[in-house]
Amino acid sequence: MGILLSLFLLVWVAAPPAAQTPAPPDAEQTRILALENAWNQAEEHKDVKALDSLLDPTLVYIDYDGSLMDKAQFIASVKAPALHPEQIINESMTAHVYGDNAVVTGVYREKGLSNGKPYLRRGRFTDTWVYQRGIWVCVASQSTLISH
Amino acid sequence: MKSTSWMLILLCSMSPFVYAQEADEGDAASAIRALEREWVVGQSRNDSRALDLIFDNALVYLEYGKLVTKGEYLSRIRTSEPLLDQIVMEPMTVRTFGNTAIVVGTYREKVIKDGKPFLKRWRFVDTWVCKKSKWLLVSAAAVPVSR
Repeated sequence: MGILLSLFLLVWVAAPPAAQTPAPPDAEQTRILALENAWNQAEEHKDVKALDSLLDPTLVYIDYDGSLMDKAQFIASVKAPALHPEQIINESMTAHVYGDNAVVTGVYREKGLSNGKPYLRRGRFTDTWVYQRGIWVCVASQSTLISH
Repeated sequence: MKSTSWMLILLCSMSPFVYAQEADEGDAASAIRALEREWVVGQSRNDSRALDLIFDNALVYLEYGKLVTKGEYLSRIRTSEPLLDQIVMEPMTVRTFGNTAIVVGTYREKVIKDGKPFLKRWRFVDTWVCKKSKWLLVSAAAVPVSR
């Protein structure tokens, strides 16, 4: 599954070298939302290679508890042996495209095991993507738990 | 990003360290920092007109897990009564990607609850986009720092 996901990203995300500018907004919205779903899949399967291609090296990630992580720290948190996500899905998403950048807001639901204990989280997220060198990468991500 | 409570801010103070960061930055980053301060000032004065000028019409503002539109945000600015709370901005980082700027930082909010003051710390991320030579806020979110 991990290899398939990585191949999917290489085909879907990588544009021909000549495509230095993004396609029309509607097409890019679809692509970005697909990347968001690919991100969830990558986390579920702890696919580091896929995450590496989705996330900008300068990524800033703010978790629901206010903790701040860079790309390496975030990927390490995904790889943590004690964490076993069973399902991460986006219940809803909206993408606003502004030329070569986009903001995605949505609601996610995640369930799994952490240190052997089951967890269920539902939160709202905001991700900022930037179109660089023919591909979209996430440069900032923040999530907040929904209390109800 | 600034305050997620609508009963906020008559006074806000900026740490001198925040201003010192601007010395070596480019024009875009300096402009963004100035806009962040403008936001704080506008909110402290309940100046919805000033905020209207720096917010994109499609602004998405994430507050306590809920999405707030530009219209809802400005409406509350116009109708809320500020309390004597204080926000202290802590150092922020500005990164630019062409016509996009990402601001990440923290601030401390002094809140009066049940007659007692306490400090709450928030971490925020704001996204600004340059449209027609003007920087506008398109996204903002803040979350309490619990650890």
